[in-house]
Amino acid sequence: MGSARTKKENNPRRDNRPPAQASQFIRFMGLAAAVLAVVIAPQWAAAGGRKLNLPYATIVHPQFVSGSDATFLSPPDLLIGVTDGKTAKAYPAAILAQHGVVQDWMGSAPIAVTW
Amino acid sequence: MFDTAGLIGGNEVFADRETNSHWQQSTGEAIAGPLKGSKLALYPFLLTTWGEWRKQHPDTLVLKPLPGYTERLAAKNRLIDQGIVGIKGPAPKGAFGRDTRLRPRETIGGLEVGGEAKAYPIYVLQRVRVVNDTVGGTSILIVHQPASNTTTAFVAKAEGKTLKFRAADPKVDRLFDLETHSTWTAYGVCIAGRMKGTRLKSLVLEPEFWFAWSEFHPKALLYSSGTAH
Repeated sequence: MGSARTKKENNPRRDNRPPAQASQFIRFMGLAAAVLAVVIAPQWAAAGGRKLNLPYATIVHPQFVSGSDATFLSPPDLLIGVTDGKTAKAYPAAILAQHGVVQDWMGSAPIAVTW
Repeated sequence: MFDTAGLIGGNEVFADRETNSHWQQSTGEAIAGPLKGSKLALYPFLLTTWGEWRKQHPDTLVLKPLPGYTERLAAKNRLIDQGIVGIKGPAPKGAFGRDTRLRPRETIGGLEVGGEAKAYPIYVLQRVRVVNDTVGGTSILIVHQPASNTTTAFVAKAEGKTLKFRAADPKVDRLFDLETHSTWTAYGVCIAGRMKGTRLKSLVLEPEFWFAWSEFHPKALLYSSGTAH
């Protein structure tokens, strides 16, 4: 899974940056494509998420497992799937609803997966 | 990088750490801050089940729950299922959508093609399963697989021909086109017949609650199964 995570860790864009660099940010976002706006119910997360003692906060260093190690999923569980033709990634809805945003990469494209 | 910053119209707003601009989730548009007016591209994605995704992508990676969360996923999934099924509730506080053509929490698949927005209620798709329609002047195909509640959308054109499709079986694992009688998968790939090997161009279908889609797409058309199919 290295590729996305390694790039992310080496990439200064994840850090706060002064507004002077905004144009680079736009160009970067514009070129590479960016947000996944799936919009089913932020309020579920807001209502349900806060009952659990985990932060409703962006996952910035997503960790992945193989399908056979994903024993925490059952066949009917919903997810958001993304693929670039080479790599496929699944973001379980139950995790997205808990954290709101997952910041990740597909190849060289920064993506924000939201619920 | 985005953080949740609140709700507008019952729909999430994010702030980016780089410029502190604010972004509306439903439209991907910056509504305030230095990047106001910019729009993020929608990266193609599919809302589906684990069973169906794994069948299509056996080598998929899966986002791992944070430590301590694994045992709570089942409860969260039940909540999510109730949210999708529980269509009778009111719009959330703060929602300003006033479009009463559907109930506020009815889920729809939204398409934007050629400057036109059109919503397809999931309950209609569950019944008709295959939709041949036109959005923004483009012929489109929508396929709903009831077993996994998965909906895919495509430009209904291949080799310069506009095609019309029918389900080949009730599960809609397979379709055939009326023009060449080729066989297609629900993922737009022709697997038998004259067009074998051809792939339809995918469209991103946005699953949303009606209140959110209608408030951010005020001129959206609404599909009803009475129209051509």
